[in-house]
Amino acid sequence: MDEWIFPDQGETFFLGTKVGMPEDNKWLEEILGVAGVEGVLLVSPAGKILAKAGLNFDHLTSEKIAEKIIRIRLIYQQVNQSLKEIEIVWPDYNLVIMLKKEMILITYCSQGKNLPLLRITLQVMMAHLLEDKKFIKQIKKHLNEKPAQIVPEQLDAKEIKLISKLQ
Amino acid sequence: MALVGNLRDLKLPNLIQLNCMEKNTAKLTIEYAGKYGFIYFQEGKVVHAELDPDIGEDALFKMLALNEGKFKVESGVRPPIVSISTPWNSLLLKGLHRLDTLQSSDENKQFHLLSMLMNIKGVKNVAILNPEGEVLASNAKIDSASVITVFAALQVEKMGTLMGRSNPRFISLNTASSRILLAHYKQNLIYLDIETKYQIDTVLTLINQVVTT
Repeated sequence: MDEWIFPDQGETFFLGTKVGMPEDNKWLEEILGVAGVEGVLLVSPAGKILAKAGLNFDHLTSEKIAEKIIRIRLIYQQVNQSLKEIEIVWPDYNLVIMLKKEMILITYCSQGKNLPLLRITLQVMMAHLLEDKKFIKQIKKHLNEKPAQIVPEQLDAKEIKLISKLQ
Repeated sequence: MALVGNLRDLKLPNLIQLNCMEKNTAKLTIEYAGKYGFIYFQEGKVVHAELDPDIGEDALFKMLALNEGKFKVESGVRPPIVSISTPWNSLLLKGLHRLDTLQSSDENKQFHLLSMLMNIKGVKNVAILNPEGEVLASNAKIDSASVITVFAALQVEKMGTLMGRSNPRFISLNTASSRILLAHYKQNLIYLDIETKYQIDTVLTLINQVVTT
């Protein structure tokens, strides 16, 4: 379980291990079973990919996507605000991102489905997930990771200029 | 007793004409998109106008562009200063002539866009932000939120590139106490502060209609 082996496109992985769907992993099964959900990515607060299912992105792309989300969370923290949810709406696609202290859940949804219902369902599932002792035990070591930080060296000139305006 | 109404029903040139012909001394207040404009009449003459940040004829000409907005006429209120000396009929002709030019300016388009967005139920504040995080137009002070939201939109743009997607239609950023919606508008961003009790999907549909018109 310690070694991170990442999947080929579309495969389902949990904590670096390939898992079968749907029986092997109850929570992945449940989230992917929600009408409209096409894929899910679970990320640690430090940006490690904990789980990935139903997506066509490779590991590196998934990590970079997570990195951008964490940067948004961190910029809010700079002004003492805690971001709870991000939703990105394309004409045919939605990303619903739920940010909890313990993890970040990124859900890829097809448009035209019942989004209010989907949001409520995801909230409920996140709550269940965080109460699931087995799951928390599985991700425990990631909860103690060094907190993510905005690293100026990793930013481009535009991003640095914006951040400098906050100081 | 004050005369109140909406410019939808009684146009501003008519209101001005009415007050001047009646030789009124009065204060006309117009509220539109969270902004207030004032026109003062003294014994039937237009003597002063204010529409932040403009004063005098410029303020009056901008108000002439309004097709809607609540108004109130309070009789007997004297002007704080005199900033206009042009007779009211020449003023109206000049103003309506200038309106044609003003209507095509970016500033006016932005003002109208803000006004339309502010009319949507659930929208608390609106701003137009440039890619540098500067506020080009707004109905309220939004402080550091402009930089934060532009930074967030930039990260989303980069995510879109990774996913092979163009700019999204909307980005919603929710904290425990606020809900910010961002929409791309030309090379800029529209920032909307939405009341958290409102269903985002209803607001999105209305905003989309305004932004795409």
